[in-house]
Amino acid sequence: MTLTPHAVQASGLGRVKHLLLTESNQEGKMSALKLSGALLIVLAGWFIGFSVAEKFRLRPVQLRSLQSGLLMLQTEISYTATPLPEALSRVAERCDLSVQELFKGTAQKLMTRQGFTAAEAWNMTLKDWQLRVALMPSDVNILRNLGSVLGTSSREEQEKHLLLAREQLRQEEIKAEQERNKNETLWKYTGVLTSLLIVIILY
Amino acid sequence: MSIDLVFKIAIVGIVVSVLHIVLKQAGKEDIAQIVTLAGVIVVLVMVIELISDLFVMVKTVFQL
Repeated sequence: MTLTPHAVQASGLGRVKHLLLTESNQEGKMSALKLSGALLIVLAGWFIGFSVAEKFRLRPVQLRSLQSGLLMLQTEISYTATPLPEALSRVAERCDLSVQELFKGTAQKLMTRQGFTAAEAWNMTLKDWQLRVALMPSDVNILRNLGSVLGTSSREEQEKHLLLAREQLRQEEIKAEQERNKNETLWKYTGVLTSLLIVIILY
Repeated sequence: MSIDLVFKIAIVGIVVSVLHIVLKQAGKEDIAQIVTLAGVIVVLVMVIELISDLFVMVKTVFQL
């Protein structure tokens, strides 16, 4: 097959056009990739910041509901003298959703009658439960100390210990509230801003 | 010299200044200082090539 000069020129132009097109296409793909990567980084930073801020926000709330739960438990023990598993499940029915699992889990462990002492059941439940809430180790330690006296001493003794635990939790709540004021907005902003900075530097 | 670099530096400056304000409001002055310093260093790294170009140009102009 012989090509006329005109046909050669046309095919050459077509090839150049084709090359140019694919190049611009690739460039478009690259910039889309870059943009989506940037978006992912910003989203990740936003998510991290907000999840940390959420932890700071939830801690005082959970400490408050723990206090009210312990108050209910104290009432159950001192006024109606309910057996501990029953008292715990009654508290679990009435107290706040975030701390419900602690009371419920302990009550269930005690009701299975597998030979756990109250302290063992309380500590085991506490171990699982602390991973799912926004409490600090210091708060959990207060609860653990309380667990060691639950169901092992006289009514008055337990009442005193519950009172002590509530007072300690109240102190922690005040501290947690201060920390929340300082850190909640900080984390909300820094998450987004830091990721934005990373994107700009890398872009 | 592309204008993109100027915009990039401007955005870095804005973001760093907002971060500084937020951190200062939260009472973390030391971290705010570190962030500002980091911002300055980042911008310096961005423009260091241009500065070296400038020095080379000065050298060639005065034939040193």
